[in-house]
Amino acid sequence: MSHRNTILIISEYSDISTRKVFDYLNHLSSINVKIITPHEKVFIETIRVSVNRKKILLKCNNDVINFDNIRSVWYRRGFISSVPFPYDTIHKLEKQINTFLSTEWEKITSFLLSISQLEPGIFLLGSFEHERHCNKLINLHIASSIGLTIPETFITSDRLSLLNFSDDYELLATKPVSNVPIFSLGMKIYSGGGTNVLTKSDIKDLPQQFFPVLVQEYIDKLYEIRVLFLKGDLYAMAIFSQGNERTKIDYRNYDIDEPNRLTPIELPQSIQVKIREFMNKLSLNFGSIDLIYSKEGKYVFLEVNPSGQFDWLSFNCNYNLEKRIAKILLNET
Amino acid sequence: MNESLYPLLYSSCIPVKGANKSIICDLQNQCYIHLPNELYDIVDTLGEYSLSQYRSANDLETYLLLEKYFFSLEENRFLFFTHTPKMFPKLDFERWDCPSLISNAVIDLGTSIQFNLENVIDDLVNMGCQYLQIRSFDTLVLSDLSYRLINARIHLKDINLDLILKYYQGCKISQIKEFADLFPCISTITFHSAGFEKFYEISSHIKVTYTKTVIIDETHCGKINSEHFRANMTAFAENREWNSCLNRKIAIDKNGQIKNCPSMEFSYGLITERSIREVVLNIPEFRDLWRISKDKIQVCRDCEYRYICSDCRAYLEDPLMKPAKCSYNPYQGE
Ligand code: SF4
Ligand code: SF4
Repeated sequence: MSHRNTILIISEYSDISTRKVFDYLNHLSSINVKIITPHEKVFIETIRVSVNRKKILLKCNNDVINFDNIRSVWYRRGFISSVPFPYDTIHKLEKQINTFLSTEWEKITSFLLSISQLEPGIFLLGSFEHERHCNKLINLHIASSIGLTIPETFITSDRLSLLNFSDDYELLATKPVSNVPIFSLGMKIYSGGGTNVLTKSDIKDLPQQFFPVLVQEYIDKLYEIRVLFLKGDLYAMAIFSQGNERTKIDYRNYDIDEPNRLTPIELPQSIQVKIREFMNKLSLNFGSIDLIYSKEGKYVFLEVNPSGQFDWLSFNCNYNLEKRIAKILLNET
Repeated sequence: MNESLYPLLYSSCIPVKGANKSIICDLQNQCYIHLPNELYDIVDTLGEYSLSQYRSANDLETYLLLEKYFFSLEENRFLFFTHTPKMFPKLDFERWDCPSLISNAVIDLGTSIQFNLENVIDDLVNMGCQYLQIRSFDTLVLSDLSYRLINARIHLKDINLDLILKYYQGCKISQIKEFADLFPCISTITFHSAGFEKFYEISSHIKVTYTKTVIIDETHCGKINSEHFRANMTAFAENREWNSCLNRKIAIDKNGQIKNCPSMEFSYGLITERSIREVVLNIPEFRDLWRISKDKIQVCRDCEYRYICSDCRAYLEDPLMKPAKCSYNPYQGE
């Protein structure tokens, strides 16, 4: 253990939580901390795949990263950049080659970031695989199979079946199956926001057939709950947006004038147990989970984000999660 | 209204009782409201009783007054009604910590002693310092300061730097800009003894102030007034256990003496003879003052502002006295 004197963090350049954890790591120990962001190009010196002669050596900004020395890896968010691809992208064929090469690179980095599963000496927090391949539909399915309540969920390309579905519910909501879309054209950036209400008349305006959309029953809530799951422990915060039309749908549409009230909340044991089971099933030891507490008094699971933001949760509930994470990475808990 | 509901304060709204008056601190919106002491106990025990319990424990008139009060707190978003008050724990302030051995520092640059400022900054950064004030009572020309700091430039990038300098003729805006370009960590520059008042921003985050106020030595510091109250999460949490001014602070006074703050009498040694790092790590008494929280200070411990107020441990005969420059009397509430 003693020779493992390095902690590797994969993150984005401006991530505030990374910065705070980094400060705690330096404050609490003299361990080496190496942060890799997409700004740094990573050069692979050696990856040797064999059972008894495993070896991984990376170079990043003149630093050599030897996996023999790594105590833990935190996949916080972002990706690892490769050295530049050899081709320019003007020619059609070369473009295709580059696309192929980036798939190659993705597999290599994905292997690097799951190494700790193969190498028991290294502790891995977070999951690159899940961040890449997180699927809301699969997750909803798993959650409901465990016994967590989920909103009635429906995907269709057909107006008539959508109308039929909508008959059973007072109000519907729609949201992307993947991520919140961001489009840019010239200098302008267009973003669709998170969740939107879908009314009956919206549906009537649709053509007979359309590209498949995800539709859920709209659940009237008393408050939303954000949970950070951290290696088996749950840290939860209630978000009261009540009486505030603007944030009724999704708290990501921040309301500056009248901020939502944020307050720590302790989930009932039965829900905690199910969330742990859910995360175990996904093999996730880190993730931020969205729930709502409905007017009927039900905890409804919405989604899990394997690399979600937790800075405001940590701050507003005074959880000091950054220190907890630093201690977990140092293996001092 | 469903009378089985429990009124409860949001966890970021915290009542604090003083000898004569009370307040509710709203740590999320960083403000506070006043509260008569007669209501403190009721507000402090919110969450324990449902509306129907309030009704049966009081005569109708009192109950209606209470209800009205709850509704007005709800309207101002200090309070909500819930069936499950036990699920909303209070904020846990035991968890307060910061990733720094030293979080803030004051360095007074005098003319009587020269020392290596760059080494001091190295030490500060290594100890996690986030905020540094450099102050000069006599004229200190910007180019001289920049000369003394230049090699610490890279290190300074993680620190917020405030400068308090004596105004001097010939200090042009272009020179200030040049200085700010070299040291982007600067957040404010204040010129004292300027003979005029002026304020401007040379960039989105650098503020320059000229003031008539004459600062001849460190004793200008330590005034307590409500302008310095900070009703935010971090300060409130820190102030419960730690001193609101001196916690994790270190200072070098104009004569090069290493101290808890330039106005304190006790010195831990000369900066030319020992490093600040040595003092912090090897002299346990250096941290004694950090532990003097408001709850330990006479008078302050009975004041409703104690967790949002700043503090001052200088100019006192007894280290547990209330700050010398506070004129508030919590027993009279004025
Ligand atoms: S102890 Fe008093 S004089 Fe010293 S820094 Fe604090 S407020 Fe200023
Ligand atoms: S009595 Fe103490 S806590 Fe109250 S205002 Fe004065 S210094 Fe602050």
